[in-house]
Amino acid sequence: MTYKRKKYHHGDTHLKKRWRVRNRKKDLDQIDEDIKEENADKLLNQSVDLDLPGAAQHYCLHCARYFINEQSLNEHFKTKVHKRRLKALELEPYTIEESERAAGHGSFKQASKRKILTQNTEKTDVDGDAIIEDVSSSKKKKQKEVLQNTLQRRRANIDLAKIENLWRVYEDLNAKKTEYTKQKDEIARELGKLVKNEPESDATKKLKMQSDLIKENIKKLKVPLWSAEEAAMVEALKLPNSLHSRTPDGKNKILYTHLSKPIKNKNHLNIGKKMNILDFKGNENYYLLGKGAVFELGAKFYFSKILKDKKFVQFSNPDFVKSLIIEGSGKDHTNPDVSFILHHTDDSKVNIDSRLHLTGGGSLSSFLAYHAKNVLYAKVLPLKYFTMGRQYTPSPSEEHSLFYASQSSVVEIFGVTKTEEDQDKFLEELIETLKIAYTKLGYHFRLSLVSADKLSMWESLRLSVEMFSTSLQDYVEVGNVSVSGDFISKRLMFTYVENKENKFPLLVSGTVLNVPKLFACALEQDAPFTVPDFAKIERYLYTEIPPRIPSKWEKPSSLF
Amino acid sequence: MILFHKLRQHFVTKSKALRLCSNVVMPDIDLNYYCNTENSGEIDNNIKIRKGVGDVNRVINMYEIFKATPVADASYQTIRDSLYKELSCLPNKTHPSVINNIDPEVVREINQKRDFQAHAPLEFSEITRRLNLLRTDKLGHTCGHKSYYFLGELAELEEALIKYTINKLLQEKFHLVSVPDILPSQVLESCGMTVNSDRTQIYSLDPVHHGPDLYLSGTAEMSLAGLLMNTLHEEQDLPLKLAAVSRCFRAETSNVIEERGIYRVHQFTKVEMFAVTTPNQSESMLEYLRKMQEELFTPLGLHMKILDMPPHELGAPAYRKYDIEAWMPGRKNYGEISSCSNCTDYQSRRLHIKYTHGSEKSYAHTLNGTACAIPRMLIALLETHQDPKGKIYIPEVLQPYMNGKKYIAKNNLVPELKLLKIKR
Repeated sequence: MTYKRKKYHHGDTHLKKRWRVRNRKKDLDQIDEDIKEENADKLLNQSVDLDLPGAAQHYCLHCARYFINEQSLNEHFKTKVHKRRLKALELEPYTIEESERAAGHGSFKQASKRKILTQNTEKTDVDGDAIIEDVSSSKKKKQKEVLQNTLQRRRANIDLAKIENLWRVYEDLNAKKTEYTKQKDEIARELGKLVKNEPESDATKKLKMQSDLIKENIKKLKVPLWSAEEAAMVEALKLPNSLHSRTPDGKNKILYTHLSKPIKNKNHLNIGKKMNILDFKGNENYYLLGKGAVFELGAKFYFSKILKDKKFVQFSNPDFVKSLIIEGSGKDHTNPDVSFILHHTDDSKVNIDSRLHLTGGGSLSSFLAYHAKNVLYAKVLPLKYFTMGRQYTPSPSEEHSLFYASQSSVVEIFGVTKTEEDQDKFLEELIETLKIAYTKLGYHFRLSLVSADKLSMWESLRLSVEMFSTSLQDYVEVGNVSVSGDFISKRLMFTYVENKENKFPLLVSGTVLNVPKLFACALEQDAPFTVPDFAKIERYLYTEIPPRIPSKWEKPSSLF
Repeated sequence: MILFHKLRQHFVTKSKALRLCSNVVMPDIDLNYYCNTENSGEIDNNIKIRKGVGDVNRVINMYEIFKATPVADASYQTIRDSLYKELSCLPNKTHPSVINNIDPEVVREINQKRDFQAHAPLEFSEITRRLNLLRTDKLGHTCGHKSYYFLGELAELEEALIKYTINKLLQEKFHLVSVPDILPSQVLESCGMTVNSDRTQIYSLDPVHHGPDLYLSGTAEMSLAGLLMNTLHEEQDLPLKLAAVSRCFRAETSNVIEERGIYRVHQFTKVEMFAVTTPNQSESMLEYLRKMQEELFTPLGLHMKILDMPPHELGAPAYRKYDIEAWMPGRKNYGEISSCSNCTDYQSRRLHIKYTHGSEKSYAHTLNGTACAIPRMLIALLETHQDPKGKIYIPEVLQPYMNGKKYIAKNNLVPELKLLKIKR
């Protein structure tokens, strides 16, 4: 397999180096063994081995080489080395039998040739796999009723019949394919028997033709099957999450109310302007000045302290995620009203499904990006994380106020649990934590469970912390917690292993504090705005009693 | 109180379109100086010792044509525009005391290098890997190139650094501002960033989906400049000192081995100082900002040297710039952890920041400086304060902000992840 070059002026040092034992790769006859189907499967799906290039995830079967990633593997398939190797493998390996025949035992037989093809590199839909099972089982009548009920309660506009049709087409095609494969196997078995005894008979030839025909049919089926699967999958992915048993219908269910509504009619934009603590130019562009900026930082640090006391682990996240994360969390990644899409700096054409989105570190997406396609051990669950950061969402309204700001400082939590019991317990604890945290702020607020029709498709339950805005004369959500079960973890292949089985964890997440909204509500309180105690600089020190505070610390705020 | 009120009156508010004040203000460049043939030698020399951008002869030629064209002429507008475009490329003047320097001049050194004795100090990536404080691997598919997550106590240390810095700046009577991260191109250009020709520096939002003119702020300096655009200040209100904590987005990448890991990243948190002064105050303000940085960093126990940068290292807006480089024992290298520069009237002429001097209005001077750039500060801190046993000592000044903790130990709360093998 080593080729000597055409020009001989430089000796053969390069060959000698390759012939050294330590540089030996697998031999052709060993590879011949490898390309048998049962071995090939094993080699192409090796478990992660960090000592090998690319953690042993990108292996070229015919060259017995590991590559660092999909791209370099695909590049390799186009190279001369690989093509030569395929050619070399076409000839069946030399055997003892052949050597014996050559020595006069038996008669000469031409070594057979076969066609060797590069291993299958077609992409499969990675994030859809887990769903197939899920949705196909939903065909069962009882589950269908539940689904219909869910859709009705959510007032979702989804044509269930259409999805079912698409699924039927897909399943029919799939059935046909299994049928063909079965036939092919049968014929192959018979053929195996016949070839040994009477290799030249008519029956053998006929069977061979039949087998070729079936293979052809399977090949032809491939394209429609793929497109049917994709069509069915895309529609099926639009189905919303199932509802949590506590989700109310029609109206939000109020769990807790603290103090009473402010009465005076105030507008935070006017007050902020008058006090020179807010310079609001638009939903995308606003500045908090002096006391306003102190409030922003202070409120974040206040929640950070509470969560740390409750044993949440702090994270600091990146602000960008790829499209697949947005899609996996049940949102439309092509819709610019859902997330900010970054302009790609290099001019090369970028696939619509692999763009970067600006979501901010304080978002569910950035926690999901951390966990997508990863496995955890069961014993580490439950996990409780939080982060402080920015959140960017395109403004949902034409109206301009802090309530519709497209960039906000937030505190975001993320919980991973094993069972539904754990999930509900975690939610219960969070409700208590939020109740205490918001009570200490000293403003009127209420906690409520959001009704089914107001939920996003990925949520199964949402707890909302609301404060009253006198400018809107309505309640505004300043914080929330969403329960989403395994809806997202299934889509993003976020799994844990228990008893050697892959399972999907249940997720609880939420923006427990949205600073601009809280700030706006705080400005619209009856009493004139001052920086509340919880947000003061003295509180930056972790200990409750600050050790030494020079009196001049209080001055900076009076400058404004 | 008076100050920001005044400030707001001068904002040009604009309705929907871009929701931002993007009606282009012409930069008011000193034509008498730049278009005077007597000065061309000096300007040309300045361009040569700086980065070599701009062409003064072309400016003067264009100015001749401009002067010869009557105002009523149809091409007047275009000629004026191209003249100003050429003018905006010219760099700021250079401070006379650095004009002849080729290498950075070390102004002073702070703290001694720590002696690790027999123990060879580890590098940041190795420390964080052992203590499980950072994740940077296998994120390309989900968050993009060079992303990072700070985990557990490293994230707490980030918070502590911000609190520590803000606390100090508020004591020094800086005005805290919270700034937006999405800005229109004009603000960026006025800060001396070239937006269109050099796309690799700045991220922009997709022009088809979100409007043609939105960029991600590369530093809070840009956003603060946007706040101060078209403002008039009273002389007695100056100097005005602003501070902001913000996220910075930088599209540039580097494959240099010295800049591996989180040394140069696409997104990070930074506390920035910004000052507006009268021309007389700006030199002393630069020294003040430098002093602030020294006071902030010295208690953190880092070995640093302060450099007075030579002309070829200055960006177009800078008149004089100090860099602070900290010793990173794991990398065995100095790394820039902050800089402060005096932009004199370069930015204020482009942004129309003026002050009243008696009955006259003249251009103010602007300065900016880094108070704390988180990733590099963390590298310097962890590498300096590592312990042979693997723990990280937290500098005393930061301990009160971290619940009195003295050391950062291995993080067992965040489990390690394993990539899922996908079966087909």
